[in-house]
Amino acid sequence: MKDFFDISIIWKKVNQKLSEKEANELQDWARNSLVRKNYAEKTYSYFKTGPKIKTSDINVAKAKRKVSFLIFTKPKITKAYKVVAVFVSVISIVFVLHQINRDNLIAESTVKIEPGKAKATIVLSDGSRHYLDEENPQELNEKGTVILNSGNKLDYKTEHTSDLLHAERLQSRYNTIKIPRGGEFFLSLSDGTKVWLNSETTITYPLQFGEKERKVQLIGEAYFEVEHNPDKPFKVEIEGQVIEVLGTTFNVKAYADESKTSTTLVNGSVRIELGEEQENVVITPGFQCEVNRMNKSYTVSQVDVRSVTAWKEGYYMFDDATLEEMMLTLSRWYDFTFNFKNDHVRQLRFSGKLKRTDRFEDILTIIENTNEMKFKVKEKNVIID
Amino acid sequence: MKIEEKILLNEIRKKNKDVFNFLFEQYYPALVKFSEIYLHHLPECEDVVQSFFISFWTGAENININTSIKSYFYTSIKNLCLNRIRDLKVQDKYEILYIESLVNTNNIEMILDSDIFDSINAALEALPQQMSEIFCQKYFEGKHLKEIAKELNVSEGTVKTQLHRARTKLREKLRETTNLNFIL
Repeated sequence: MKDFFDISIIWKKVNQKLSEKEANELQDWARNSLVRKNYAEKTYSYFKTGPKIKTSDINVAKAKRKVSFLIFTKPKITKAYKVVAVFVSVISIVFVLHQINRDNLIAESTVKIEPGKAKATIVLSDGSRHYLDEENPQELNEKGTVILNSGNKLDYKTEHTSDLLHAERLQSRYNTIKIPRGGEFFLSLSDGTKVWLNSETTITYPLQFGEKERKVQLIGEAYFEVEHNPDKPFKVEIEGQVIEVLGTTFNVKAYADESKTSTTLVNGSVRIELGEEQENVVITPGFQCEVNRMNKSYTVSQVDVRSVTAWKEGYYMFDDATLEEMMLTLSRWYDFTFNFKNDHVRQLRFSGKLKRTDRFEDILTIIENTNEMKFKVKEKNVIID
Repeated sequence: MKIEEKILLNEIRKKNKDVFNFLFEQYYPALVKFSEIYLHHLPECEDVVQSFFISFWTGAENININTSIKSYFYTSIKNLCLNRIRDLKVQDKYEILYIESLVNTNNIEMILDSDIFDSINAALEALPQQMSEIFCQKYFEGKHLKEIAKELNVSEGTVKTQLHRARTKLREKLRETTNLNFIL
Protein backbone atom coordinates (compact mmCIF):
# COMPACT_ATOMS: atom_id res chain seq x y z
CA MET A 1 0.00 0.00 0.00
CA LYS A 2 3.05 2.18 -0.11
CA ASP A 3 2.24 4.19 -3.18
CA PHE A 4 -1.42 4.42 -2.25
CA PHE A 5 -2.76 7.81 -1.30
CA ASP A 6 -4.44 8.06 2.09
CA ILE A 7 -7.81 9.70 1.69
CA SER A 8 -7.75 11.09 5.24
CA ILE A 9 -5.38 13.75 3.95
CA ILE A 10 -8.32 15.33 2.14
CA TRP A 11 -10.31 15.11 5.37
CA LYS A 12 -7.52 16.93 7.16
CA LYS A 13 -7.47 19.57 4.48
CA VAL A 14 -11.13 20.27 5.29
CA ASN A 15 -11.00 19.96 9.06
CA GLN A 16 -7.44 20.71 10.09
CA LYS A 17 -4.37 22.03 8.41
CA LEU A 18 -2.16 20.02 6.13
CA SER A 19 1.49 19.63 6.82
CA GLU A 20 3.77 20.39 3.90
CA LYS A 21 4.47 16.72 3.44
CA GLU A 22 0.78 15.89 3.27
CA ALA A 23 0.07 18.72 0.84
CA ASN A 24 2.78 17.36 -1.41
CA GLU A 25 1.37 13.87 -1.21
CA LEU A 26 -2.01 15.13 -2.34
CA GLN A 27 -0.50 17.06 -5.19
CA ASP A 28 1.63 14.17 -6.31
CA TRP A 29 -1.30 11.84 -6.31
CA ALA A 30 -3.66 14.10 -8.24
CA ARG A 31 -1.05 15.40 -10.67
CA ASN A 32 -1.53 14.36 -14.29
CA SER A 33 -4.81 12.63 -13.65
CA LEU A 34 -8.13 14.30 -14.25
CA VAL A 35 -9.98 11.38 -12.72
CA ARG A 36 -8.02 11.63 -9.49
CA LYS A 37 -8.33 15.40 -9.40
CA ASN A 38 -12.05 15.11 -9.87
CA TYR A 39 -12.26 12.44 -7.19
CA ALA A 40 -10.27 14.61 -4.77
CA GLU A 41 -12.64 17.52 -5.36
CA LYS A 42 -15.73 15.43 -4.81
CA THR A 43 -14.33 13.95 -1.64
CA TYR A 44 -13.38 17.40 -0.42
CA SER A 45 -16.88 18.69 -1.06
CA TYR A 46 -18.42 15.69 0.72
CA PHE A 47 -16.33 16.30 3.84
CA LYS A 48 -17.20 19.96 3.67
CA THR A 49 -20.94 19.88 2.96
CA GLY A 50 -22.07 16.29 3.51
CA PRO A 51 -23.91 13.83 1.28
CA LYS A 52 -25.84 14.94 -1.80
CA ILE A 53 -27.91 11.82 -2.53
CA LYS A 54 -31.34 12.10 -0.98
CA THR A 55 -33.64 9.20 -0.18
CA SER A 56 -36.11 10.57 -2.70
CA ASP A 57 -33.49 10.19 -5.46
CA ILE A 58 -33.45 6.46 -4.95
CA ASN A 59 -36.08 4.38 -6.70
CA VAL A 60 -36.26 1.27 -4.56
CA ALA A 61 -39.12 -0.32 -6.49
CA LYS A 62 -37.28 -0.02 -9.77
CA ALA A 63 -34.10 -1.43 -8.27
CA LYS A 64 -36.03 -4.30 -6.76
CA ARG A 65 -37.63 -5.12 -10.07
CA LYS A 66 -34.24 -5.20 -11.73
CA VAL A 67 -32.65 -7.36 -9.06
CA SER A 68 -35.66 -9.69 -8.86
CA PHE A 69 -35.60 -10.15 -12.59
CA LEU A 70 -31.95 -11.10 -12.48
CA ILE A 71 -31.98 -13.46 -9.55
CA PHE A 72 -35.43 -14.96 -9.53
CA THR A 73 -35.54 -15.80 -13.21
CA LYS A 74 -31.92 -16.17 -14.26
CA PRO A 75 -30.95 -19.37 -12.44
CA LYS A 76 -33.78 -21.24 -14.12
CA ILE A 77 -32.67 -20.17 -17.54
CA THR A 78 -29.08 -21.12 -16.92
CA LYS A 79 -30.14 -24.41 -15.41
CA ALA A 80 -32.32 -25.30 -18.37
CA TYR A 81 -29.61 -24.08 -20.67
CA LYS A 82 -27.07 -26.33 -19.00
CA VAL A 83 -29.34 -29.33 -19.24
CA VAL A 84 -29.89 -28.70 -22.92
CA ALA A 85 -26.19 -28.17 -23.45
CA VAL A 86 -25.38 -31.50 -21.85
CA PHE A 87 -27.99 -33.26 -23.90
CA VAL A 88 -26.86 -31.71 -27.12
CA SER A 89 -23.14 -32.08 -26.71
CA VAL A 90 -22.71 -35.33 -24.85
CA ILE A 91 -25.68 -37.51 -25.48
CA SER A 92 -27.52 -35.86 -28.30
CA ILE A 93 -28.83 -39.16 -29.60
CA VAL A 94 -30.42 -39.93 -26.28
CA PHE A 95 -32.00 -36.51 -26.33
CA VAL A 96 -33.55 -37.16 -29.72
CA LEU A 97 -34.80 -40.55 -28.57
CA HIS A 98 -36.23 -38.96 -25.49
CA GLN A 99 -38.08 -36.47 -27.66
CA ILE A 100 -39.49 -39.20 -29.85
CA ASN A 101 -40.65 -41.17 -26.84
CA ARG A 102 -42.38 -38.12 -25.50
CA ASP A 103 -44.15 -37.52 -28.77
CA ASN A 104 -45.29 -41.12 -28.81
CA LEU A 105 -46.51 -40.77 -25.30
CA ILE A 106 -48.66 -37.82 -26.14
CA ALA A 107 -49.97 -39.49 -29.26
CA GLU A 108 -50.80 -42.63 -27.28
CA SER A 109 -53.26 -40.98 -24.96
CA THR A 110 -56.51 -40.57 -26.78
CA VAL A 111 -58.52 -39.18 -23.88
CA LYS A 112 -57.56 -35.56 -23.44
CA ILE A 113 -57.45 -33.89 -20.08
CA GLU A 114 -59.20 -30.58 -20.39
CA PRO A 115 -60.14 -27.72 -18.12
CA GLY A 116 -63.52 -27.90 -16.44
CA LYS A 117 -66.58 -25.91 -17.42
CA ALA A 118 -70.03 -25.03 -16.17
CA LYS A 119 -71.98 -28.24 -15.69
CA ALA A 120 -74.19 -29.73 -13.02
CA THR A 121 -77.05 -32.09 -12.33
CA ILE A 122 -80.08 -30.94 -10.42
CA VAL A 123 -82.26 -33.38 -8.50
CA LEU A 124 -85.73 -32.00 -7.95
CA SER A 125 -87.91 -32.88 -5.01
CA ASP A 126 -89.73 -35.55 -7.01
CA GLY A 127 -86.42 -37.29 -7.64
CA SER A 128 -86.20 -36.30 -11.31
CA ARG A 129 -82.75 -35.41 -12.58
CA HIS A 130 -81.88 -32.73 -15.07
CA TYR A 131 -78.52 -32.23 -16.63
CA LEU A 132 -77.46 -28.61 -16.81
CA ASP A 133 -74.75 -27.22 -19.05
CA GLU A 134 -74.16 -24.31 -21.36
CA GLU A 135 -75.69 -26.06 -24.34
CA ASN A 136 -78.96 -26.70 -22.53
CA PRO A 137 -80.52 -23.56 -21.12
CA GLN A 138 -83.98 -24.33 -19.87
CA GLU A 139 -86.67 -23.34 -17.46
CA LEU A 140 -87.66 -25.78 -14.78
CA ASN A 141 -90.82 -25.47 -12.83
CA GLU A 142 -91.42 -26.98 -9.47
CA LYS A 143 -94.47 -26.45 -7.28
CA GLY A 144 -94.95 -22.95 -8.61
CA THR A 145 -91.27 -22.06 -8.25
CA VAL A 146 -89.58 -21.09 -11.45
CA ILE A 147 -86.00 -22.25 -11.71
CA LEU A 148 -84.22 -20.37 -14.47
CA ASN A 149 -81.31 -22.27 -15.90
CA SER A 150 -79.17 -20.19 -18.19
CA GLY A 151 -76.55 -22.86 -18.71
CA ASN A 152 -74.03 -21.80 -16.10
CA LYS A 153 -76.34 -20.46 -13.48
CA LEU A 154 -79.55 -21.36 -11.68
CA ASP A 155 -81.89 -18.68 -10.47
CA TYR A 156 -84.74 -19.31 -8.05
CA LYS A 157 -87.70 -17.03 -8.44
CA THR A 158 -90.22 -17.73 -5.76
CA GLU A 159 -93.41 -15.81 -5.63
CA HIS A 160 -93.98 -14.79 -2.08
CA THR A 161 -97.10 -16.60 -1.04
CA SER A 162 -99.56 -15.75 1.68
CA ASP A 163 -100.88 -19.27 1.49
CA LEU A 164 -99.29 -20.78 4.58
CA LEU A 165 -99.96 -24.30 3.51
CA HIS A 166 -98.29 -23.71 0.20
CA ALA A 167 -95.32 -22.03 1.90
CA GLU A 168 -94.93 -24.98 4.22
CA ARG A 169 -94.95 -27.30 1.28
CA LEU A 170 -92.19 -25.32 -0.39
CA GLN A 171 -90.12 -25.40 2.77
CA SER A 172 -90.25 -29.14 2.97
CA ARG A 173 -89.23 -29.65 -0.65
CA TYR A 174 -85.56 -29.92 -1.29
CA ASN A 175 -83.47 -29.57 -4.39
CA THR A 176 -79.96 -30.89 -4.74
CA ILE A 177 -77.32 -29.72 -7.17
CA LYS A 178 -74.35 -31.95 -7.92
CA ILE A 179 -71.32 -30.54 -9.63
CA PRO A 180 -69.17 -33.29 -11.15
CA ARG A 181 -65.37 -33.28 -11.31
CA GLY A 182 -64.38 -30.77 -13.95
CA GLY A 183 -67.47 -28.69 -13.36
CA GLU A 184 -68.57 -25.47 -11.70
CA PHE A 185 -71.88 -23.73 -11.33
CA PHE A 186 -73.50 -20.63 -9.96
CA LEU A 187 -76.63 -20.60 -7.91
CA SER A 188 -78.88 -17.80 -6.80
CA LEU A 189 -81.15 -18.95 -3.97
CA SER A 190 -84.71 -17.81 -3.30
CA ASP A 191 -83.56 -15.31 -0.64
CA GLY A 192 -81.07 -13.68 -2.98
CA THR A 193 -78.01 -15.42 -1.55
CA LYS A 194 -75.42 -16.16 -4.20
CA VAL A 195 -73.45 -19.38 -4.19
CA TRP A 196 -70.50 -20.27 -6.41
CA LEU A 197 -70.03 -24.01 -6.54
CA ASN A 198 -66.67 -25.61 -7.29
CA SER A 199 -65.98 -29.03 -8.83
CA GLU A 200 -67.12 -32.21 -7.08
CA THR A 201 -69.58 -30.40 -4.87
CA THR A 202 -73.10 -31.18 -3.71
CA ILE A 203 -75.48 -28.70 -2.15
CA THR A 204 -79.02 -29.31 -0.85
CA TYR A 205 -81.48 -26.55 -0.02
CA PRO A 206 -85.25 -26.10 0.35
CA LEU A 207 -87.31 -24.46 -2.38
CA GLN A 208 -88.15 -21.80 0.13
CA PHE A 209 -86.44 -21.11 3.45
CA GLY A 210 -88.38 -21.55 6.71
CA GLU A 211 -89.43 -18.80 9.12
CA LYS A 212 -86.56 -19.08 11.56
CA GLU A 213 -83.50 -19.92 9.56
CA ARG A 214 -82.02 -20.54 6.16
CA LYS A 215 -80.20 -23.84 6.04
CA VAL A 216 -78.28 -25.59 3.29
CA GLN A 217 -76.17 -28.74 3.29
CA LEU A 218 -72.83 -28.88 1.58
CA ILE A 219 -70.16 -31.36 0.57
CA GLY A 220 -67.27 -29.94 -1.42
CA GLU A 221 -66.32 -26.31 -1.94
CA ALA A 222 -68.52 -23.24 -2.27
CA TYR A 223 -68.24 -19.49 -1.98
CA PHE A 224 -71.25 -17.79 -0.39
CA GLU A 225 -72.46 -14.22 -0.58
CA VAL A 226 -75.28 -14.30 1.93
CA GLU A 227 -78.13 -11.83 1.65
CA HIS A 228 -78.37 -9.93 4.90
CA ASN A 229 -81.34 -10.90 7.05
CA PRO A 230 -80.87 -10.58 10.83
CA ASP A 231 -84.14 -12.39 11.53
CA LYS A 232 -83.16 -15.49 9.62
CA PRO A 233 -79.59 -16.64 10.16
CA PHE A 234 -78.05 -18.50 7.27
CA LYS A 235 -76.60 -21.88 8.12
CA VAL A 236 -74.32 -24.16 6.17
CA GLU A 237 -74.23 -27.72 7.38
CA ILE A 238 -71.12 -29.66 6.59
CA GLU A 239 -70.32 -33.04 8.07
CA GLY A 240 -70.46 -32.61 11.83
CA GLN A 241 -70.39 -28.82 11.75
CA VAL A 242 -72.83 -25.98 11.35
CA ILE A 243 -71.54 -22.67 10.06
CA GLU A 244 -73.87 -19.90 11.11
CA VAL A 245 -73.79 -16.44 9.62
CA LEU A 246 -75.78 -13.28 9.21
CA GLY A 247 -75.02 -11.26 6.09
CA THR A 248 -71.56 -12.28 5.08
CA THR A 249 -69.18 -13.53 2.42
CA PHE A 250 -67.14 -16.65 2.97
CA ASN A 251 -65.64 -19.74 1.42
CA VAL A 252 -66.24 -23.26 2.70
CA LYS A 253 -64.13 -26.21 1.68
CA ALA A 254 -65.32 -29.56 2.94
CA TYR A 255 -64.34 -32.43 0.69
CA ALA A 256 -65.08 -35.92 1.85
CA ASP A 257 -61.62 -37.16 0.87
CA GLU A 258 -59.66 -34.48 2.71
CA SER A 259 -58.78 -34.77 6.37
CA LYS A 260 -59.60 -31.13 7.12
CA THR A 261 -62.42 -28.77 6.39
CA SER A 262 -61.83 -25.05 6.17
CA THR A 263 -63.99 -21.97 6.45
CA THR A 264 -62.48 -18.68 5.29
CA LEU A 265 -64.18 -15.40 5.98
CA VAL A 266 -64.03 -12.54 3.48
CA ASN A 267 -66.26 -10.15 5.35
CA GLY A 268 -68.95 -10.10 8.05
CA SER A 269 -68.76 -12.64 10.83
CA VAL A 270 -69.20 -16.34 11.11
CA ARG A 271 -69.76 -18.78 13.95
CA ILE A 272 -68.78 -22.39 13.62
CA GLU A 273 -70.54 -24.93 15.82
CA LEU A 274 -68.39 -28.00 16.17
CA GLY A 275 -70.94 -30.13 18.01
CA GLU A 276 -72.29 -30.60 21.51
CA GLU A 277 -69.10 -31.09 23.43
CA GLN A 278 -67.08 -28.42 21.72
CA GLU A 279 -67.11 -24.69 22.14
CA ASN A 280 -68.11 -22.59 19.14
CA VAL A 281 -65.48 -20.81 17.08
CA VAL A 282 -66.01 -17.27 15.88
CA ILE A 283 -63.80 -15.94 13.13
CA THR A 284 -63.29 -12.46 11.72
CA PRO A 285 -62.51 -11.41 8.13
CA GLY A 286 -59.16 -12.56 6.75
CA PHE A 287 -59.11 -15.59 9.03
CA GLN A 288 -59.54 -19.24 8.29
CA CYS A 289 -60.76 -21.97 10.60
CA GLU A 290 -59.52 -25.44 9.81
CA VAL A 291 -61.18 -28.38 11.49
CA ASN A 292 -59.76 -31.85 11.67
CA ARG A 293 -62.50 -34.27 10.66
CA MET A 294 -61.33 -37.04 12.95
CA ASN A 295 -60.99 -35.39 16.33
CA LYS A 296 -62.68 -32.05 15.71
CA SER A 297 -59.61 -30.13 16.82
CA TYR A 298 -59.37 -26.81 15.06
CA THR A 299 -56.90 -24.04 14.25
CA VAL A 300 -57.65 -20.45 13.31
CA SER A 301 -55.09 -18.59 11.26
CA GLN A 302 -54.74 -15.51 9.14
CA VAL A 303 -54.70 -16.30 5.41
CA ASP A 304 -54.49 -14.56 2.09
CA VAL A 305 -58.18 -14.51 1.26
CA ARG A 306 -57.50 -13.88 -2.41
CA SER A 307 -55.68 -17.15 -2.81
CA VAL A 308 -58.49 -19.07 -1.09
CA THR A 309 -61.23 -17.56 -3.26
CA ALA A 310 -59.21 -17.28 -6.48
CA TRP A 311 -60.99 -20.30 -7.99
CA LYS A 312 -64.20 -18.28 -8.16
CA GLU A 313 -62.43 -15.59 -10.19
CA GLY A 314 -61.20 -18.16 -12.67
CA TYR A 315 -57.72 -18.89 -11.49
CA TYR A 316 -55.76 -20.76 -8.87
CA MET A 317 -53.27 -19.19 -6.52
CA PHE A 318 -50.91 -21.51 -4.75
CA ASP A 319 -48.93 -20.10 -1.90
CA ASP A 320 -46.22 -22.48 -0.81
CA ALA A 321 -48.51 -25.45 -1.48
CA THR A 322 -47.13 -28.98 -1.66
CA LEU A 323 -47.25 -30.69 -5.02
CA GLU A 324 -49.72 -33.15 -3.54
CA GLU A 325 -52.13 -30.41 -2.45
CA MET A 326 -51.76 -28.79 -5.84
CA MET A 327 -52.46 -31.98 -7.75
CA LEU A 328 -55.49 -32.68 -5.59
CA THR A 329 -56.94 -29.25 -6.36
CA LEU A 330 -56.14 -29.45 -10.06
CA SER A 331 -57.46 -33.02 -10.36
CA ARG A 332 -60.93 -31.86 -9.40
CA TRP A 333 -61.03 -29.18 -12.05
CA TYR A 334 -59.27 -31.04 -14.85
CA ASP A 335 -60.83 -34.32 -13.80
CA PHE A 336 -57.89 -36.68 -13.67
CA THR A 337 -56.38 -39.11 -11.22
CA PHE A 338 -52.76 -39.13 -10.14
CA ASN A 339 -50.14 -41.32 -8.47
CA PHE A 340 -46.85 -40.39 -6.95
CA LYS A 341 -44.05 -42.82 -7.68
CA ASN A 342 -41.77 -41.10 -5.26
CA ASP A 343 -42.64 -39.79 -1.85
CA HIS A 344 -40.27 -36.86 -1.60
CA VAL A 345 -41.81 -35.28 -4.68
CA ARG A 346 -45.15 -35.07 -2.86
CA GLN A 347 -43.72 -32.53 -0.47
CA LEU A 348 -42.11 -30.20 -3.01
CA ARG A 349 -43.53 -26.74 -2.53
CA PHE A 350 -44.77 -24.33 -5.14
CA SER A 351 -46.15 -20.84 -5.29
CA GLY A 352 -47.82 -19.29 -8.25
CA LYS A 353 -50.88 -18.39 -10.18
CA LEU A 354 -52.59 -20.50 -12.84
CA LYS A 355 -55.59 -19.68 -14.97
CA ARG A 356 -58.41 -22.19 -14.79
CA THR A 357 -58.61 -22.02 -18.58
CA ASP A 358 -54.92 -22.97 -19.02
CA ARG A 359 -54.34 -26.11 -21.04
CA PHE A 360 -53.45 -29.01 -18.80
CA GLU A 361 -50.30 -29.87 -20.79
CA ASP A 362 -49.08 -26.30 -20.32
CA ILE A 363 -49.50 -26.48 -16.58
CA LEU A 364 -47.57 -29.75 -16.44
CA THR A 365 -44.82 -28.20 -18.55
CA ILE A 366 -44.54 -25.24 -16.20
CA ILE A 367 -44.20 -27.51 -13.19
CA GLU A 368 -41.82 -29.84 -15.03
CA ASN A 369 -39.55 -26.89 -15.85
CA THR A 370 -38.35 -26.93 -12.28
CA ASN A 371 -36.53 -30.13 -13.25
CA GLU A 372 -37.63 -31.76 -10.03
CA MET A 373 -40.01 -34.32 -11.48
CA LYS A 374 -41.45 -35.82 -14.63
CA PHE A 375 -45.08 -36.35 -15.50
CA LYS A 376 -46.39 -39.28 -17.48
CA VAL A 377 -49.93 -38.96 -18.73
CA LYS A 378 -51.86 -42.07 -19.62
CA GLU A 379 -55.51 -41.64 -20.43
CA LYS A 380 -56.81 -39.66 -17.46
CA ASN A 381 -54.12 -40.75 -15.06
CA VAL A 382 -51.01 -38.75 -14.29
CA ILE A 383 -47.95 -40.50 -12.90
CA ILE A 384 -45.53 -38.23 -11.09
CA ASP A 385 -41.97 -39.41 -10.91
CA MET B 1 -25.32 -13.20 15.62
CA LYS B 2 -28.75 -13.08 17.20
CA ILE B 3 -31.07 -16.03 16.77
CA GLU B 4 -33.51 -14.11 14.61
CA GLU B 5 -30.72 -13.03 12.32
CA LYS B 6 -29.59 -16.64 12.00
CA ILE B 7 -33.11 -17.55 10.98
CA LEU B 8 -33.08 -14.71 8.52
CA LEU B 9 -29.88 -15.86 6.90
CA ASN B 10 -31.21 -19.39 6.84
CA GLU B 11 -34.32 -18.22 5.10
CA ILE B 12 -32.18 -16.53 2.48
CA ARG B 13 -30.30 -19.79 2.03
CA LYS B 14 -33.61 -21.55 1.63
CA LYS B 15 -34.40 -19.01 -1.09
CA ASN B 16 -37.23 -17.30 0.75
CA LYS B 17 -38.06 -14.44 -1.58
CA ASP B 18 -40.17 -12.58 0.94
CA VAL B 19 -37.32 -12.32 3.39
CA PHE B 20 -35.03 -11.20 0.60
CA ASN B 21 -37.50 -8.53 -0.49
CA PHE B 22 -37.88 -7.41 3.08
CA LEU B 23 -34.13 -6.98 3.57
CA PHE B 24 -33.80 -5.29 0.22
CA GLU B 25 -36.48 -2.74 1.02
CA GLN B 26 -35.09 -2.16 4.50
CA TYR B 27 -31.47 -1.61 3.51
CA TYR B 28 -31.29 -0.61 -0.12
CA PRO B 29 -31.72 3.17 0.22
CA ALA B 30 -29.48 3.38 3.28
CA LEU B 31 -26.71 1.40 1.62
CA VAL B 32 -26.89 3.46 -1.55
CA LYS B 33 -26.53 6.61 0.50
CA PHE B 34 -23.75 5.03 2.49
CA SER B 35 -21.76 4.25 -0.66
CA GLU B 36 -21.88 7.84 -1.92
CA ILE B 37 -18.75 8.82 -0.03
CA TYR B 38 -16.74 6.23 -1.92
CA LEU B 39 -18.20 6.61 -5.39
CA HIS B 40 -19.86 10.06 -5.60
CA HIS B 41 -22.12 8.94 -8.41
CA LEU B 42 -25.68 7.71 -7.86
CA PRO B 43 -25.89 5.15 -10.69
CA GLU B 44 -22.57 3.68 -9.59
CA CYS B 45 -23.78 3.52 -5.98
CA GLU B 46 -26.99 1.79 -6.99
CA ASP B 47 -25.04 -0.65 -9.11
CA VAL B 48 -22.74 -1.61 -6.25
CA VAL B 49 -25.61 -2.21 -3.87
CA GLN B 50 -27.62 -4.17 -6.42
CA SER B 51 -24.65 -6.37 -7.26
CA PHE B 52 -24.12 -6.93 -3.59
CA PHE B 53 -27.71 -8.08 -3.05
CA ILE B 54 -27.46 -10.41 -6.03
CA SER B 55 -24.37 -12.10 -4.65
CA PHE B 56 -25.91 -12.16 -1.20
CA TRP B 57 -28.82 -14.15 -2.64
CA THR B 58 -26.85 -16.46 -4.89
CA GLY B 59 -23.95 -17.04 -2.56
CA ALA B 60 -25.84 -17.20 0.73
CA GLU B 61 -24.63 -20.75 1.42
CA ASN B 62 -21.07 -19.57 1.79
CA ILE B 63 -21.71 -16.49 3.88
CA ASN B 64 -20.55 -16.49 7.44
CA ILE B 65 -21.70 -13.63 9.61
CA ASN B 66 -20.18 -13.14 13.03
CA THR B 67 -21.62 -9.77 13.90
CA SER B 68 -25.03 -8.67 12.66
CA ILE B 69 -26.61 -8.61 9.25
CA LYS B 70 -26.57 -4.83 9.33
CA SER B 71 -22.88 -4.52 9.96
CA TYR B 72 -22.20 -7.32 7.49
CA PHE B 73 -24.06 -5.31 4.86
CA TYR B 74 -22.15 -2.11 5.58
CA THR B 75 -18.76 -3.79 5.69
CA SER B 76 -19.42 -5.63 2.44
CA ILE B 77 -20.51 -2.47 0.66
CA LYS B 78 -17.45 -0.67 2.00
CA ASN B 79 -15.14 -3.32 0.58
CA LEU B 80 -16.93 -3.49 -2.75
CA CYS B 81 -16.67 0.30 -3.10
CA LEU B 82 -13.00 0.34 -2.24
CA ASN B 83 -12.49 -2.34 -4.86
CA ARG B 84 -14.16 -0.18 -7.45
CA ILE B 85 -11.85 2.76 -6.80
CA ARG B 86 -8.74 0.62 -6.66
CA ASP B 87 -7.44 2.11 -9.89
CA LEU B 88 -7.33 5.54 -8.30
CA LYS B 89 -4.74 4.19 -5.88
CA VAL B 90 -6.48 5.49 -2.81
CA GLN B 91 -6.72 3.84 0.55
CA ASP B 92 -8.81 4.56 3.59
CA LYS B 93 -6.11 4.00 6.15
CA TYR B 94 -8.03 5.29 9.15
CA GLU B 95 -11.48 4.27 7.89
CA ILE B 96 -12.35 7.93 7.81
CA LEU B 97 -14.66 7.46 4.82
CA TYR B 98 -16.42 4.65 6.65
CA ILE B 99 -17.14 6.62 9.81
CA GLU B 100 -17.94 9.87 8.02
CA SER B 101 -20.47 8.13 5.86
CA LEU B 102 -22.07 6.15 8.68
CA VAL B 103 -22.43 9.23 10.81
CA ASN B 104 -23.78 11.26 7.93
CA THR B 105 -26.33 8.78 6.70
CA ASN B 106 -27.58 7.23 9.93
CA ASN B 107 -28.99 8.94 12.94
CA ILE B 108 -26.92 8.61 16.05
CA GLU B 109 -29.48 6.46 17.85
CA MET B 110 -29.46 3.81 15.17
CA ILE B 111 -25.68 3.67 15.28
CA LEU B 112 -25.60 3.36 19.03
CA ASP B 113 -27.98 0.47 19.08
CA SER B 114 -26.13 -1.83 16.72
CA ASP B 115 -22.88 -3.61 16.05
CA ILE B 116 -22.03 -0.65 13.90
CA PHE B 117 -21.31 1.11 17.16
CA ASP B 118 -18.38 -1.16 17.93
CA SER B 119 -16.84 -0.72 14.52
CA ILE B 120 -17.18 3.07 14.53
CA ASN B 121 -15.86 3.25 18.02
CA ALA B 122 -12.88 1.11 17.12
CA ALA B 123 -12.22 3.28 14.08
CA LEU B 124 -12.47 6.46 16.13
CA GLU B 125 -10.00 5.09 18.64
CA ALA B 126 -7.59 4.20 15.86
CA LEU B 127 -7.62 7.76 14.54
CA PRO B 128 -4.73 10.01 15.49
CA GLN B 129 -5.82 11.81 18.64
CA GLN B 130 -6.25 15.21 17.09
CA MET B 131 -8.38 13.87 14.26
CA SER B 132 -10.53 11.92 16.67
CA GLU B 133 -11.16 15.02 18.75
CA ILE B 134 -12.09 17.11 15.74
CA PHE B 135 -14.38 14.41 14.57
CA CYS B 136 -16.16 14.16 17.90
CA GLN B 137 -16.48 17.91 18.11
CA LYS B 138 -17.95 18.08 14.68
CA TYR B 139 -20.53 15.39 15.19
CA PHE B 140 -20.99 14.64 18.85
CA GLU B 141 -20.65 18.02 20.56
CA GLY B 142 -17.18 17.07 21.66
CA LYS B 143 -18.31 13.96 23.45
CA HIS B 144 -17.05 10.53 22.70
CA LEU B 145 -19.34 7.90 21.32
CA LYS B 146 -19.16 5.86 24.52
CA GLU B 147 -20.35 8.73 26.66
CA ILE B 148 -23.26 9.38 24.31
CA ALA B 149 -24.15 5.72 24.36
CA LYS B 150 -24.16 5.72 28.10
CA GLU B 151 -26.40 8.75 28.24
CA LEU B 152 -28.82 7.43 25.68
CA ASN B 153 -29.02 3.99 27.21
CA VAL B 154 -30.31 5.44 30.42
CA SER B 155 -33.13 7.27 28.77
CA GLU B 156 -35.69 5.16 26.98
CA GLY B 157 -35.94 7.21 23.88
CA THR B 158 -37.41 6.81 20.49
CA VAL B 159 -34.57 4.46 19.62
CA LYS B 160 -36.11 1.51 21.31
CA THR B 161 -39.57 1.99 19.87
CA GLN B 162 -38.08 2.47 16.43
CA LEU B 163 -36.05 -0.68 16.69
CA HIS B 164 -38.93 -2.51 18.24
CA ARG B 165 -41.10 -1.56 15.30
CA ALA B 166 -38.54 -2.82 12.83
CA ARG B 167 -38.22 -6.09 14.71
CA THR B 168 -41.97 -6.59 14.92
CA LYS B 169 -42.26 -6.03 11.20
CA LEU B 170 -39.54 -8.55 10.63
CA ARG B 171 -41.19 -11.09 12.84
CA GLU B 172 -44.47 -10.67 11.03
CA LYS B 173 -42.73 -11.17 7.73
CA LEU B 174 -41.07 -14.34 8.97
CA ARG B 175 -44.26 -15.65 10.42
CA GLU B 176 -46.01 -15.17 7.11
CA THR B 177 -43.41 -17.03 5.19
CA THR B 178 -42.01 -19.68 7.48
CA ASN B 179 -43.06 -22.17 10.09
CA LEU B 180 -40.79 -20.77 12.71
CA ASN B 181 -43.35 -19.08 14.94
CA PHE B 182 -42.22 -20.96 17.99
CA ILE B 183 -38.70 -19.59 17.92
CA LEU B 184 -39.60 -15.96 17.54
